[in-house]
Amino acid sequence: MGEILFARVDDRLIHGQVMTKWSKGFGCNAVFVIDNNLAKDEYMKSIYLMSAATSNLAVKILGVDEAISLWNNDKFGNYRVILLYKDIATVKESITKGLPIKKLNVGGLAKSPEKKFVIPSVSLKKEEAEMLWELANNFDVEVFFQTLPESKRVNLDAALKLFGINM
Amino acid sequence: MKEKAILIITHGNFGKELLKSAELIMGDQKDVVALGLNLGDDVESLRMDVEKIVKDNQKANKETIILVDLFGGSPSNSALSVSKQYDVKILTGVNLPMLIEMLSSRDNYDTEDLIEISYKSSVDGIKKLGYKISKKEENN
Repeated sequence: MGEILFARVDDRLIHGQVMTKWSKGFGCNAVFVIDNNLAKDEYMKSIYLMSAATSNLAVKILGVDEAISLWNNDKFGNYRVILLYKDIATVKESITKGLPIKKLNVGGLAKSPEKKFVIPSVSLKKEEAEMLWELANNFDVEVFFQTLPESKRVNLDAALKLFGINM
Repeated sequence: MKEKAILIITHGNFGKELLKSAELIMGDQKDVVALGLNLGDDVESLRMDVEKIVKDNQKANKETIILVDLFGGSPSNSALSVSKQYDVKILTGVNLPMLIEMLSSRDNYDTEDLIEISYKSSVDGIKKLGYKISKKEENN
């Protein structure tokens, strides 16, 4: 039986930080990108798959429903997987549809004027913070903010305080 | 022969500084731009910047050659994503020998040849030094 090591939210999806750092250790042998739009875009899909081809990891790009049927089918077989997401809403969709994500690393969300920085690589909107609160409280997900395995880790309660939300 | 514009895209300020270094050696250059992706930057806005530059070049009847730092990184992915709609050529692993070759030879060759020459210069520019030179290499 396979295992979901953790999920990561990173709007750059497959790139150096993920392939050279996060996928080393934890016995990781696969990275699944879960994104409904990307799964339909054959051209961008081929770019990500080509970029990842030099790694020793199995890489798949899936829509949420596709990922869930793979999980229901054989619990991801022999894969020890990092799930990669572009946004928090898709993580929420996956979890509410039954994908058992227990650890969520929020590692890369670009800044924009209405957002607040949690760590230098992650800024959040209030509704994203609320979604994370929901995942932690209703689905028992351990949420943490961290760019690289060796960089500073910020826990959800500290991030939520920025928005005046209490755990 | 079509004029060629060069776009450098890298992680951080590497590309911008690389261009400055090349201009230090060769003097100011026209039709060359460098973009950098920094922590917290939006990759989608980088992609749009790339697209705008390529589009403007196209309007000015110039070809765009994109030099990126790392195959598989976000700068390379944004260049590739723009290549869906636009005819651009991309070289990865940008270094100073590549850029200097590109800048100094772009008016003399068509795009395909320029890419080949610049590729070769970028690889040939890497030497292992400090070893005793063997007879064989001396003869070459």
